[in-house]
Amino acid sequence: MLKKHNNKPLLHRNSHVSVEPTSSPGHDTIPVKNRSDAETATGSTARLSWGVRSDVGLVRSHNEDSFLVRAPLFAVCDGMGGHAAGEVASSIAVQTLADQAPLEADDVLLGAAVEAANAAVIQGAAEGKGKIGMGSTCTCLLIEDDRMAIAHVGDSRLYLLHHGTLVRLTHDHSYVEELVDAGEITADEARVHPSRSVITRALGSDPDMYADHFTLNIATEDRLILCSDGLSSMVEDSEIEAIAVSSTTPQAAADNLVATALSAGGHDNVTVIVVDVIDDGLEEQRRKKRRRTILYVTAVALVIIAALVGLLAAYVQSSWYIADHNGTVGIYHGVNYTVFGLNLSQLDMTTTVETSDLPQTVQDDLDRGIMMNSEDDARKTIESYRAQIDQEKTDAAETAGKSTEGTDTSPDNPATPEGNTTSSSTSGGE
Amino acid sequence: MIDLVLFIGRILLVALLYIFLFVTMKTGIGLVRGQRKDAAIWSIDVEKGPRALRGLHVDILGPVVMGRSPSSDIVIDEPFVSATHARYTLQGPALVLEDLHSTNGTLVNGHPIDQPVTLRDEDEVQVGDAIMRVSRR
Repeated sequence: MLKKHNNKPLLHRNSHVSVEPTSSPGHDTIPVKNRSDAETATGSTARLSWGVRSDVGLVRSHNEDSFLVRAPLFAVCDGMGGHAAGEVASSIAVQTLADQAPLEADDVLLGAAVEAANAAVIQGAAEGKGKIGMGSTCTCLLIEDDRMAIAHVGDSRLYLLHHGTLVRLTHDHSYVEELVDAGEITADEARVHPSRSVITRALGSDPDMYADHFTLNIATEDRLILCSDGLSSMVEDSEIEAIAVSSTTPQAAADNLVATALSAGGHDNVTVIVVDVIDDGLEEQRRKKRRRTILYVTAVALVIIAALVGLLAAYVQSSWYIADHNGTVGIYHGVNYTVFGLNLSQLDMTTTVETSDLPQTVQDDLDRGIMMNSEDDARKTIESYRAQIDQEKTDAAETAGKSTEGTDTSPDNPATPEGNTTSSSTSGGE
Repeated sequence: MIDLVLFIGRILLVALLYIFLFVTMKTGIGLVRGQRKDAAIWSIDVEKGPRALRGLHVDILGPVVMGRSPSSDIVIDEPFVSATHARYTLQGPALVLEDLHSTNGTLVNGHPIDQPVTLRDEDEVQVGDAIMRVSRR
């Protein structure tokens, strides 16, 4: 019976496994903890977490490998030259890399740093440090956000474990690799080929040597494995994949890989750097972009709204209208609208012109407000109203006078003596 | 003139509405795309066990608890299995098996485990009478 929950069971969410897991029983490995002639380094930043183990192996007496862990820069150098000269060469290379490496993931500059390391090894040999003819391989990577720059020379390898699948990113500069490329031998035969340790390019021999360099994208949860040939010549890639994917922390992965190399024989020095990408920074970039977009859209919207309001204000400021004001005609500044409870007009001046004196059609228009081009126009219109009203009043008075003459027995002008009638007619005739 | 301004306002409102629709659609597409996850690295197959579990294949995408209790993710209804017996978790890329203080213990490749272990491809996990095989993609 199977019950599949979409969410993690609530009961167990916070009870994280506190004890560091060990490898499952039933697999024989040599314990690497507490081995002498071994070096380890563990660390982490907000973006990366890493673990390193460097072991002399079971056959050699010196560890000629050097490693550099200066996050986000990681490098493995496998020295050669015998009688401690290899150690000198690889430490010179690591030192130079640390000084010359760029700050950002630029593979051209990183390649230049490797070439500078080459010059430093040659110069060191000439100055009497180590021995003439000493050399070193060099594989380094520099991680910046979701990109990494890689530069390498020799047969130290870089692997990428992406979602449970191991990919080899570097191409060995070795004789057997050339044979494999040419199709003369298979990759399995290369591991046991008599000339498997012949490398075709290394630091310390050719002043004009150039480094292979390139840039790749990485993602959160990717695991990078830098190793010297002490691992890759002893352990098959499929085994490296199986061990890398079965290790919880980078340090556990490095330890397990070294242990496997030792149980496979440990013929050479083994150095493994494992780097986990905790956060590739893409999420942060996306957040930043979204914030920028929101800011931009808001700014544009604000500008449009401001332009509209400005346009409206300018229009309101420049318009006039006349309308009824408590029974008289008033001149208003603005437009006869109310927007969100805000009256867009104010009374500029009142007049003595009574609206009731005006014709009905004009009264109706005044109720809505009559638009004017300017204040002068408004005054002129009101003056014309006044003149019109006066004219009408005069006309009305005249008409009244005439009608008075005609109808003697009207209720307003009851029949009066002759003299009165004459006087009234005289006044009407004025 | 005021009518023109109001008209522009109306057009803007419609434009805003369409922008809102567009953004909503984009978000919806993003959500659908976000749900499409890569396949699990680890899975377990039940090789031997009670009839109800036989042939069971489980992709490990998060913590998976085994036990007799019906609230377990994989319910092994057998007398020698504790209520919550053992748990699979993912730590980094690795699959970790932890015995949850069960009475009769958990065996990996025939050995009882006394602390969490990282499992390898082809490892055999035994809980009670049920035997499970770990496999990697």
